[in-house]
Amino acid sequence: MNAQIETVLKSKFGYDHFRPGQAQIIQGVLDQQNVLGILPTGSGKSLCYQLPTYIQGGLTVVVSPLISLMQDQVIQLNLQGEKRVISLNSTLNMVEQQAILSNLSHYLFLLIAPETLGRRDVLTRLQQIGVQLLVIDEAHCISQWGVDFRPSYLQLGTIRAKLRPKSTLMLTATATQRVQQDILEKLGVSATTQKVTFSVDRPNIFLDVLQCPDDQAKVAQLKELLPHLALPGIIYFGSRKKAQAMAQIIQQDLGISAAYYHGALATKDRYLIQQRFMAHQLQVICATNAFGMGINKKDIRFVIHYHLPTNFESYLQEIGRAGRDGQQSIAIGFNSPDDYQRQLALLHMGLPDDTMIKLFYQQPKKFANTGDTAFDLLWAYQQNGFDQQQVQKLLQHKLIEKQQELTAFNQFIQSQGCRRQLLLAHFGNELTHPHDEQCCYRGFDPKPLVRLKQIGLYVNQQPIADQQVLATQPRKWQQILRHILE
Amino acid sequence: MEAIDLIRFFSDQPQRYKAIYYGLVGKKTISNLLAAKKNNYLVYFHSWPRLSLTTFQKCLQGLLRADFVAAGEVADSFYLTAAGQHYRQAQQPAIFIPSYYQGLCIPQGQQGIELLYLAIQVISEYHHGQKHYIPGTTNYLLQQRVRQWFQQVKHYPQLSQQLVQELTRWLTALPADQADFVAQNFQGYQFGFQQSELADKTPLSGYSQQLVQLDALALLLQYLAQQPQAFPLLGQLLIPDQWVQPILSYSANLTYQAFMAGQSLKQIGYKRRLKDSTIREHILEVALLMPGFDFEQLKQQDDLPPTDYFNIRVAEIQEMSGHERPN
Repeated sequence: MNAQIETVLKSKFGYDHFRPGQAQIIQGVLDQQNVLGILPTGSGKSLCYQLPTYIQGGLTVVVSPLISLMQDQVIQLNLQGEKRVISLNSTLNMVEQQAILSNLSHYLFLLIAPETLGRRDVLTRLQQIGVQLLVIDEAHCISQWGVDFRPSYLQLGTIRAKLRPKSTLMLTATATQRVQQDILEKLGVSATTQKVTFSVDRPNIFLDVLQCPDDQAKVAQLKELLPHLALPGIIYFGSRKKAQAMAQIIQQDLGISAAYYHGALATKDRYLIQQRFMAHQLQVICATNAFGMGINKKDIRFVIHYHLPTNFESYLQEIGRAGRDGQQSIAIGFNSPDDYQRQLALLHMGLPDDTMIKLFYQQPKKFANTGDTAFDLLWAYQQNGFDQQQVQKLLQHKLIEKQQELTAFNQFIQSQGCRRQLLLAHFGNELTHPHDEQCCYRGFDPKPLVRLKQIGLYVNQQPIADQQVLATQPRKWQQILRHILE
Repeated sequence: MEAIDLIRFFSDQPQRYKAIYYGLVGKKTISNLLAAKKNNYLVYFHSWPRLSLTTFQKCLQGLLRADFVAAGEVADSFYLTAAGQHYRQAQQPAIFIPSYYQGLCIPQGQQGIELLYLAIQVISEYHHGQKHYIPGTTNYLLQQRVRQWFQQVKHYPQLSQQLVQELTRWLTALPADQADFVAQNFQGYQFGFQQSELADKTPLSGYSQQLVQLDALALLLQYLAQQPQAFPLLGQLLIPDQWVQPILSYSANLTYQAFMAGQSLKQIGYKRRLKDSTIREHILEVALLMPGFDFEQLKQQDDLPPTDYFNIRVAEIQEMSGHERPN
C-alpha cells in the first residue's frame, strides 16, 4: 500500500486504517483492474470508489438503482466537504439536466440511474469526457436470480462497452455464488475480474429478539428499554404513521430527543434531521425502511426493529447501521404473532398480478409513466425485451423466492439456537468463533435489560429532550442573524 | 392543502372552482384573470404553481362534505355557506394577507426564496469555517447560481457583517412577527427548524406560511430595485430585473403604449401585423390589470356592437369598482 493512499485516507476521510477488504479493492481499482467487492453493510463500501477517485482524478460514474440512494451518496460526500458531486436523475427538468451535462467536467462524482446512463445524449457526453471509474452499486440488482432484480440493470453490459471506463467496480453487500457469476457475465467482465469477498458478520452487534404479544406490548417494551439503552439509536417501523407517533411518545413521555424520518418528509427536513443526528442533538430516529439513511454515523449503539423486515438482506442492511465505530452495539427485534400477516402483505406490494400483466401486454404504451410501481416494473421488463410469458414466469419465481426468504427469515427470528450462525449461513459464511454471551440471545429474550448490562450497554441516562435543544435555538430575527452570521 | 387555504377564495357569490385553481397555478387567460379580479384574488395569481388539481379537488370535496361550500346554479360553481363563513371567521388567524406580493409580477417567487436562503446558509457556514454541510436546496440551477455569486462576493470586506446589515435593513421593514417567521426559515451554521417545528409555532396555514415568505421577498426585491447601493451583496444575487416582471405581458404592453398614443385598435393591429382579436385580448388584459385604464377612450374608438363578446367583457371589467380587496 503506497503512502499516498494512506495520506488521502487520513486527510479526506479521517481514518488511520482501512477496514477489511477496502485496501484490496482500492489497490485493484488503482491498478485499473475490474473488481467485484462483496462487503458487508457498514464496511465502508463508498470509500472504495471515493478514495481512488481522489488519487486518480477523472470522472467516477456511480450507477445506483434508487434516487434516494443517489441523494444519500451526495449528502454523504457533501458532509465530507466534497462539493464536486452531482446526481443526474429524473427529478431534474431537462434544462437542469442539460446544464449538468455541459458542466460535467467540473465534477469528480456522477451518481446516475441505469436508465439515464443509457440515454444517447448522456453516453455521448460521457464518451467525450472519458470515464475513469465505473461503479455499479448494488450490483446484485443485475441478476435475475436475486430478489432485487432490476431489468434496467441489464443494459449496463452494453453501456459499459460503450463507455470503456479504465476500470469497473461492482459493489454489493449480499450476493450468493450464483448471483456473483451472473453479475460478471451480464457486465461482460468475467475474465479479468478480481473478487474480494468478506464475511457479512458484524461481531460487535449483539443480536437479540423479544417476543411481544401485541402492539401495546411493543410500546411498553420500548418505554422500558429506552431509558436504559445507550444512545444514539435507530428504530425501524413498517409504517410512517407509527414512526411518527412513536417519535412523539419517545420525546414527550421519555424526554429523549427523537425525530421521525421517512420518504414523505420535505427535503429540507430530511437534511436537518440528519444534521442534528450527526451533531448529537437528536438521539433517536424513528425511521421507515423506505428511505435509505445515507448518513455514516459511526457511534449508533442500537437498532431496534419495531417491525421486522421480510428478509435477511434488509435485516442485515438495517442492523448494519449500528456500531460502525467497532464498539459494542445491539440489534433488537420485536416479534409479535400479528407481524407475519403484515409481512406477507408486504411481499405482494409493488408486484403486478397475472391480470395486470395481461392487461399491460395488450397495450404497453398506455401504461408508460403511470407512476404505479407495478406498471413501472412491467414497463422496464418490456423495454428490456421480456415477453408476457417470460415476465409471468419471472414474477412467479420472484414471489416464490420472496416467500422462501420470509420463511427462512422467520425461522431465524423464531430460532432457539445461535442466530448469528443462521444469519451467516444464509450468506454462505461461517462463524469465526463459537457462540458466547456476546454473540446473540438464543430464543426470545425475557430480560433484555439484563442483556444490556451483560454487554455493557446499560445506562441510566439523563436525556436531553428535543424541546430543550430547540429551546436553545433563537427565535427572534435579530438573534437568528447573530447566531448564524456573527 | 388545508380547508382554510381554499375557503379563503370563496364568497357568498358562486364562482367556478377551476378558475381559482388555474389562478393559483398561474394559467394566464383572460377568463381566469377576470375571475380572479372579480373575486379579489388577483394578488395570489401564480402563488402556488406546484399545486395539483387532484389535491385541490380533494380539498374542495372536503369543503362540500363539511357543508362549508354549496353548488351554485352554474355548473362547477360553488359559494360559501353560513357554516363556511363561520369557519372562515374562526380560522382568521391562519390567513396571511400579503402587503407587497403580487403573484403576476413574481412568478418564480418560490425559487427566489430558495436562492436567498441557500445564499444565507453558504455565508453562514463559510463564516464559521464549516465546509461539511448539506445545502438546503437540491435545485441544481439555484446551487450553481449561488456558487457563482459566492465566487463574486467572497472577498468582500467583512462579508458576513455586510450580509447582516443588508438583511437587517430588509427585516426591520417587515412587521416583527413576519420578520421572525422569515428568519426562522433560514438555515445556517448549527441552525434550522423543520417544517413541523415551524408549523407548531404559528397559527398560519401551510399556504399562508409560504405567502409570508413570498411577501417578504417582494419587499426585498423592491428595496433591491430602489436602493441598490444599500444592498451590494444581495443585489448581485437577486437581480430585480430577472425576478420581477411587469404585470402586463410584453406584447400587451406594446399594444397599450400604442393605444395611449391615440392609435385605434385597427391601426395597432395593422402596424403590429396582429389579428384584431389578438389586439382586443391585449386591451382586455390591460383593462383588467392597469388601474388607470381609460375606458372612455376605448368606447370612442370601438365600432363593435355592444353585444359583442369583447364589449361585454369590457363592460364587466369597468363595472368592477376600484381595486381588488385582499382576501
